[in-house]
Amino acid sequence: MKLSKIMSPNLMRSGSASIARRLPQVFAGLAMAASCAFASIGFAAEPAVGNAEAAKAKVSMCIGCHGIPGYRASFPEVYSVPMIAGQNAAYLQVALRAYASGERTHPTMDAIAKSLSDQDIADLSAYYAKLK
Amino acid sequence: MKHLKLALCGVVLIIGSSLAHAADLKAGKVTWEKLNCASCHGADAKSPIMPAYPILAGQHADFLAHALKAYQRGAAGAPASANVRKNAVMGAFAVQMSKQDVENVSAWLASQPGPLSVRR
Repeated sequence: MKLSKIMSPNLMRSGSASIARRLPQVFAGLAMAASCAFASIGFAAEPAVGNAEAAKAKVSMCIGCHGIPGYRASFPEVYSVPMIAGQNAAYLQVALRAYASGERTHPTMDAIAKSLSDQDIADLSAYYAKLK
Repeated sequence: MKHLKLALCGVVLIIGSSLAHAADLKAGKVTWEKLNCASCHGADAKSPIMPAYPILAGQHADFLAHALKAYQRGAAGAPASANVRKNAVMGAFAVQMSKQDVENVSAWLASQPGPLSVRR
């Protein structure tokens, strides 16, 4: 990022002597740029590390459908609920977040996904990915 | 006589439903290759190029077909209440598929060996 984007045009026009007087402002600008950079790094990384052990207290809401052989959903077509044991953890996270955001819709899964924290999603995904 | 009628009904129903869902595994593999699904989901359908993509091999055929139909509904702009999936990449592939393509590729994927199960 160019310094000109961080500092106000007014600040850019002033000479080096005036920049020295306004050092606190310059530092504030730099600090803001740095925090933006860190924020974007944080956003790109996985928000939570999954703990499969911790998921054992949370799977009760999953097994009533996904743990029953032959269990089917009926809307809008009749189909077997997906097998999720052994699925990729990262994909399971994507799927749950897609239900929470509305990118993917299903009455039951929407409600469940919206009730989960980022940590819950990471834990459950890690648990089911390990289950082979 | 009543039993015979019932039995005949049963036979007709079984034949009818198998015709409606008759999936062609060979044609399914052709669809998989034609749409180049392996370029993301992996040649064996269980080694996707990114972990954020799902393992498909061995998944229930009817679920895979449902997912593809949900992508089609999402791409067609159906309301959220219609059970949709909105995804630019999968939506673009799904709209190229006929009903028969969906049934065939789903059946072929379900027939492939994979790690998925209903374990809990």
